[in-house]
Amino acid sequence: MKFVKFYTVLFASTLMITACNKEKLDPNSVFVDSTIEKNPLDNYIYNNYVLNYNIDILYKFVDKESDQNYNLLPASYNSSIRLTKLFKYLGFEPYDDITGSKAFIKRYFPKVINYIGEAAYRNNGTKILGTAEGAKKITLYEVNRLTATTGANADFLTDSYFHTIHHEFQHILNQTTEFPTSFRSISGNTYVDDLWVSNWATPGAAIAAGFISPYASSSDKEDFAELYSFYITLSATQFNAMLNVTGSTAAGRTIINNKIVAVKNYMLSVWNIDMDLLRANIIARKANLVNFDQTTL
Amino acid sequence: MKRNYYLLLLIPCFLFAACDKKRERVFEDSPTERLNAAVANAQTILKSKPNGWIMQYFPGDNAQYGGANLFVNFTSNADVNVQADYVSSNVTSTYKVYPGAGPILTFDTYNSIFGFFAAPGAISQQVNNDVGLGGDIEFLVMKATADSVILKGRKRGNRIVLVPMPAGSATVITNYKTSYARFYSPNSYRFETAKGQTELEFGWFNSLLSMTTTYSVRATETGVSFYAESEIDGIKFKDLTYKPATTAYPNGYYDNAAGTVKLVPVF
Repeated sequence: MKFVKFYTVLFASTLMITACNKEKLDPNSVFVDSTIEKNPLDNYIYNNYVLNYNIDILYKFVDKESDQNYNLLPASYNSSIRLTKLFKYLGFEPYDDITGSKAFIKRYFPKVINYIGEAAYRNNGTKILGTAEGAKKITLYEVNRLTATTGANADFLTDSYFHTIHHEFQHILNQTTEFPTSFRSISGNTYVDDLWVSNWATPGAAIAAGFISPYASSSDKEDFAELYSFYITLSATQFNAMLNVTGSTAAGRTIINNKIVAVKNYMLSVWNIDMDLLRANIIARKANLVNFDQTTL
Repeated sequence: MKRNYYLLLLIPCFLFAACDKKRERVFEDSPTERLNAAVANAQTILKSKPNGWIMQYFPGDNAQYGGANLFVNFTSNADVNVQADYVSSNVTSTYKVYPGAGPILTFDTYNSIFGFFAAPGAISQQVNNDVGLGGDIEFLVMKATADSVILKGRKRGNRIVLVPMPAGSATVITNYKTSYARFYSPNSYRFETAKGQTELEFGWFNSLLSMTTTYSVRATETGVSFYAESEIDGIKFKDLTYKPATTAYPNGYYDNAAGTVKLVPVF
């Protein structure tokens, strides 16, 4: 039996030697980044986004962060400056004002914002305008459409960028704390899933069925985010006009208004955000757009 | 029991073998060091030419749409100035060289000259809605020396060569533009050899199509150059030189050194 013991010890010691042989890891990447002069926009992003909100903006095209299934164009430098300044003005600062600090956006907003110059086009000509991946990244397309003319058009900004931004942000809030299941029961089994593309002949038909937009009819989660985003980015007049569009019905409006109440309750009770105050803040900022400098860094 | 001792003996052998990670290196430096050096070298070479480079650019799968000459000048570690033979624009945007499967050169903010090739067709009105001409904006640097830089498009894989821009770049660019306009102005072309004529028509951008073959053409200072060695009636050629008008060819023509192939403009 002596031999057995001997070999057991030998075997055990082998394991120990192997296990002990550890290399210390260097915290720095082995790849050296080439030195690139920081331009004014790089500095602006660092000072205003990274330091204040712990959020980075990729305005330069990064292949691995972009959707490889599409042919994409990089964003232009000048349009990137406009969107970066407007993003803070119309996207972040309303929340800062209502919650009283930058902590809310810093904690919950996705950490990477990715700019793409034009939309991602499919072969049939349809296109993608914005995506959110998990709670980490928001990608905005058609950044190059932002010019001196379109930049002064509050409705263009809302349709092209900020509706998407608030919509995706709502998803992230929902992923953090779910909205009450009672919301789903309002529209019940009338959600149509992928058929939202073809199910509604006009936006009015969707309103008549109790959905703020055709896309809202795809699922309760999208419905919730669409209601939220349209409500806070449109003025009361614009929102009412949307509800009363041709083809809409009073019954449909009642369903939508009931759902709005549920969204408002959720935002107030879970996040302590009064959506009417938030909307007033955003509308005031949109009205003041003419006085907002979009180009000076 | 005795057999088990031998089995036990075997186990440490495996374990020791697994621990032995040291190998003779083929190269002296580690792969990381060599990649870092290659990136630094590519960046230095690209920036080293005060007049910039002539980039022989071909978009699309298999370079099927013909090519253009882009005049790129890397003016700092971040900025690049781009002109081209096919358009009068002069645009400055940014670039970067970063490590990947090798050094990768990326033109990472919008530049309308690359944009025409890289945009989805819905924007550029070329070929189809999604891909368009399929021009690359990211390239793997295959070789970077003082005489030439050879790139490979990351999405389409086309070989793209950069040669240094000689002194007097303004004149050279004008020559290229004149040559481009001359190549592009006819309605169509035909090949002429001893065996007969082959009619050609323009495809997308600078491609010439016969009934059976796509010829991918780029205008040069002296004539035209094909993306790859091409063949007509058994005669191989790559570069053709422009010959001015004669009585038989009132619009001039392009031919090879031996004079056996003529590319004749048809108006």
